[in-house]
This record gives sequence, structure tokens and C-alpha cells, in this order.
Amino acid sequence: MGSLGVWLWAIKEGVLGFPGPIRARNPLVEAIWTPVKAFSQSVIQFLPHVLAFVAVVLLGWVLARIVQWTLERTLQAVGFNELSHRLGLTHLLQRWGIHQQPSRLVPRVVYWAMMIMVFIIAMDALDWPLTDQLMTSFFGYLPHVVVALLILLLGYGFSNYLARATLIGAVTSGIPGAKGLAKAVRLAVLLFAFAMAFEQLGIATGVVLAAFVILFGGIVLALAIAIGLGAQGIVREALEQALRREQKEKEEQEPISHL
Amino acid sequence: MSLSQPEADVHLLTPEVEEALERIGEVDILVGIPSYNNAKTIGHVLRAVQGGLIKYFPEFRSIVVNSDGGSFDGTQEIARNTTLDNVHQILLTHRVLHPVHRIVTPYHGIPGKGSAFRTIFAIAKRLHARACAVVDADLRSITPEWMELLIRPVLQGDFDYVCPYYLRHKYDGTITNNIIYPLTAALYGRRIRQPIGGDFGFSGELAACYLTRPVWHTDVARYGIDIWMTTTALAEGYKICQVFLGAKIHDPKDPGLHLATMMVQVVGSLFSLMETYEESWQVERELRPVPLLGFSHDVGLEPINVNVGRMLQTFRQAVKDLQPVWEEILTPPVLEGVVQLDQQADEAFFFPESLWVQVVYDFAVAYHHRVLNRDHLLRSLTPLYLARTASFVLETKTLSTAQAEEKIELLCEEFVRQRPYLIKHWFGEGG
Repeated sequence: MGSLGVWLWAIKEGVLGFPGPIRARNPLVEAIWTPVKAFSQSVIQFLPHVLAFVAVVLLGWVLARIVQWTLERTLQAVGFNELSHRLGLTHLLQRWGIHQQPSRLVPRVVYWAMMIMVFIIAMDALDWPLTDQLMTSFFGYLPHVVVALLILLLGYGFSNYLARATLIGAVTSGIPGAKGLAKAVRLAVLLFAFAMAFEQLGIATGVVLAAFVILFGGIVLALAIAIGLGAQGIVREALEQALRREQKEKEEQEPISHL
Repeated sequence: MSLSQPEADVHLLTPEVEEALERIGEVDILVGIPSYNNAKTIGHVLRAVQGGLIKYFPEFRSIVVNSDGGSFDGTQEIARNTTLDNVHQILLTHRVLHPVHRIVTPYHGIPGKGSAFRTIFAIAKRLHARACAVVDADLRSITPEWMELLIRPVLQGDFDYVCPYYLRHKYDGTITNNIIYPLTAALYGRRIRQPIGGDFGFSGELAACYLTRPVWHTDVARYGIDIWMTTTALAEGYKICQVFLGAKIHDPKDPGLHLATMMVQVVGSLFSLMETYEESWQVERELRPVPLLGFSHDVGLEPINVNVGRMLQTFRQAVKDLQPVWEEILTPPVLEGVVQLDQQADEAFFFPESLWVQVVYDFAVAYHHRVLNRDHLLRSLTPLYLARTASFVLETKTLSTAQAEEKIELLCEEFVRQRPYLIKHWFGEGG
């Protein structure tokens, strides 16, 4: 940095100091050189910030690569691919055209997330007022995005788990329409997860909540009416049987026969 | 924090039991009866046990331990108060040198038969019992002779583990007949016909060995204790025999009821033990018979009605709905074979032994490699198992119990013949 400072000083003296006597004598030259001089000063003052920006980006890139490599090895070691397969996440990714293994995909996502953060931090080194505001907003919103993504991922995994449990349970119990039932369970859990994610992101929270309440409330009400109306015969028969049984037990307990 | 073994044993026993054990000191024979809400039958079981100990082992010091899981129907009170009122009903002459001690104790730990057994093992170890037996509290067919049969081979016959051999209806014990027996035989090379019979004899040394194993906070304690005891004795080279106990009378059930849960519990325990003992069973070994002691005889068995139509209906629905699940478990040729079974009419339904063995092995491999949630995996075996049972019922409809038994032995040999298939997939690429 010492020799760089000397060079910068020399450039400054050479640019700003020339052509000193000519400028003093000619207003036109003065009019041309003043903005050039101002621009040059700006560039020279800005150069350290640029160098700092480049340094931060380079260092950040190295760090992001190390984290990516470490995370990939760790996820492979703990069997993350198998877990993703069991939760159905691998299948979901394949449906979206992503055929990379989850143990490589997740570190890649983390790498790019880190690089975005590195660029934002590096921009702060440029000392622009706009970057301060941008960083504040970004880092303030980032946790909500991360939580929302987690909710969606977990919700998807849980919906698969519950749907499969419902399917297998219904089939082994001989309940017809097992596939439809499983799909309904999956949809319900996914809707729930999406509603939670949108609430986390602060996107139309009032609308989402109202829609969720109306939808689920409507479904529950419809089921209650259907079961209540449809099962009234069964309930009546069950009550009559219980009453008859009680009556019979009473009669059998009577100590004397009336005939 | 894990306790050292002596501390763990101490915490199993209440102060009252500790006191009683101090007074008793040592015994030669211990009989354990785990119970939970068995008020209707435990009195009969206790009288049979006491009668058997008095009749056949009068010169030995004996104790009966009832390990109860918190019954609320009066089981413990009945167990405490049951006495052999009229000994002459069962004995013509007897000479008793030592009274039969009795302890009724609750057990601690995870609810389940395994926890009850752990308490019994701990008491056996404390009392330095030489020979032990455990019998179910809901038996209706137990007689005093069962005590001699379960205990004598250990006490005086140099055996470490005694398995029961019941005469059962050809449709009774369908899980044992189609999975547990043949798979255990193929893995460990010994033909133990009823490895999860429920009533066993074992040495005090084996009881102490069981206590050292870290299984008491797992599913073994809940519902896998029977298969675990048998497999441990087999895999660790203990000397085993079977004894003929006649009929085991219990409420006959249609094999199609409540099977999914049984699959998870029993077959899950068996598959889990395959992981524990994979070094033992991967060794090639000849299939050897296990000595059968006792006087074999025929008994009249209660008939069992099996609803084959309902079983096949469940299977056919599963072929339509569970294929995406089975695709993750079964190899493509096996899946194709299973799907083609759906084209058979009910009356002519036949599930070949070779295909069934590959299904079981594929499920075992998938369990080992955790291709999906294990509970889901085991439950999805149920429709296939129902299909196999339906096929067996149809195949043996006109056969006697002995002839049906021959079919089961053929299945056992098929399991042995296809061992290389299991080994290749278990240790290779997997399911």
C-alpha cells in the first residue's frame, strides 16, 4: 500500500500539477481542467474502496467455496440423500427437473446465498448510501425467507409422510378410496404449510388467513353435516341395540320368573 | 446417564421385593409369569405352575414370580391369594421338602412384556436360580406337566434354552408359519418350529446374559421379547431344545384381523435382529433339526374360520393403490410377479413359495437400507402376507394338519435355498 500511495501521489501531481502555468494564464483551459481534476480526485479517492470491494469479494468467494465443500462432505457422511429420498424431497426435485443429488444441491444453494451476502457486504465497502439501506432491508427480511423455506420443506416432507401413512392404513383396513383419502391429506397439509409460509413472509396475511379459515371451516362443516345426516340410521340402530341389551340384562337379573 | 448393570437391576425391584429376596436367599428354580389384566386366567396358571413344581421338583427350592404391568382388574390380588387348595386333585402322593415361594411385583420400564421379563431375569440373577421358565398369564391349556417339560431339560439335561412346540391348527400362527419360522431357520440354521411361542425355559446363566443386553428401552421391551430371546440364544450358540406341550388354547382369531400392527411388531423385531446378528447369519450353515422332547400326541383342535375373500380383496386393493410404495421396496421382477397374481381368480389363487420368499427378503433388505419409513414399510407387507395366507388356506383346504405341516417345511427349504439372494442384496447394492 506504501508504494501504491506513492504512485497515486505521482499521478495526482502529474495530472493536477500539469499544466499549472498554462491554466493560470488561460480561463478556457481552467474550465476544462477543473472538472477533469475533480473527476480524477474522485477516482483516486474511490480507488481504495474499489480495491476493498475486490478484496472482500475474493475472500468471500474463498470462504463460500470452503463452506460448500465442507457441507457437501458432511451431508454425504450423515446420509442426507437417503433422508431426502425417504421424505420425498428427491422425488419433488426430480419433478421440477433438478436431478442433482440433495447433498450437492444444498451446499450449492448455500454457496450462492453466501456469495449474494458477500456482494452486499462488499458493496458497503464502496461507501454508497444506497447500499446501507439495501443491506438493512435485506438482512431484516432474510430470516423470514429462511423460515418460510424451512416451513415449506418440512411441510412437504410431512405431507408425504402423512399421505403415505393414510394410504397404507386405509388399504390394510380395507377402506375404499384410499388413494383419494391420501391425496386429500397431502393437500390439506400442504395448504397449511403454504398458509404458514405466506404469513411468515408477510404476503397478504389477512387474505391467506381468511381463505384458510373459510376453506377448512367449510370442509369441517360439510363433513359434520354429511356424517350427521348419513349416519343417523346407524346411530339410531346402535342406541336401540344398547337399550335392548340393557333391558335384557335387567330382565335376566330379576330374581323371580313371572310365569 | 446409563447405569452400570448392578445399579440397573437394583432399580427394577421395589423395597418390599428386595426384602423378600433377602429372606429367600437362593433358589434352584424360578418360574416367571408376566401379566396385565389377566384376572380371569392367572389363578389357573398359578395353580398349574405350583402343582407342577410340587409334583416334579419337590426336592428343589422354587419360586414363582408374577411380574405385573399395572393391572386394574384385580390380577395382582388374585395372584397373591391363589393357593393350591386341594393338592390331591392333581397329586396322588407328594413329598415337599421346600415350599414354593411366591412374589407378586409390578415391573418398571417401558410398558410391555419385555419389561416384565427384565424384572424376572433380575430376580433370577439375584436368587442364583439354576433353571427358569416363563409362561403366559392367559393360558387355558397349561398343566402341571408343562413345568417338568420346560425346566427339566435345563436343570438336568444340559440345555440352555427350551422352546415350546404346540400342536396348532393348520391355520393358526400364520405369521409364524409363513415368515418367522422359515426365516429364522434359514438365517441361523436351526429348525425351531415356534420361535415366538411365548412359554420358554432357560438357564440362570442365559437369564444373566439377557440382562446385560442394552435392549430394555427399545421395542424389544414393548413387544419383541420372544423373538429376541430365541434369536439371541440361537445366534450366540446356546444349546437349544424344543418340548412338546400339546395344544396352546387361546381365542382363535381370523388371521386377517389386526395384522398390520403385528407385522410392525413381530416382523420388525425379526428384521431388526437381522441387523444385530448379520455377522452370524451370513455364514453358510447346514439346516439342522432341534431336539424335540416330550411325548408327542394328537389333540382335538378348535376350528378356525378364515375369510379368504376378504384377504384377497385387501390384496387386490393394495395392487391398485400401493404399487408406488412397493416399487421402492421390491425388485422389478418380484413386483411384476406380485402384480400378475392379481389376475388370478379367487378360487384358483396361488402365491408361489419362491415368489413369497423373495418378497420377504426384499422387505428385509429394504428395512435394512431404510428405503422408506420402517413403520410404513412393514405395514405395506400386510396385503402381500394376506395374499400368501389366502393361498396357503386354499392349498391346504382338504389336507390334514400333518400334510399342511409338510407344505410349511417346503417353504422353509425354499427360504434356505434362496439365502444367496438375500445375502447378495443385503450386503450388495440393496433393494
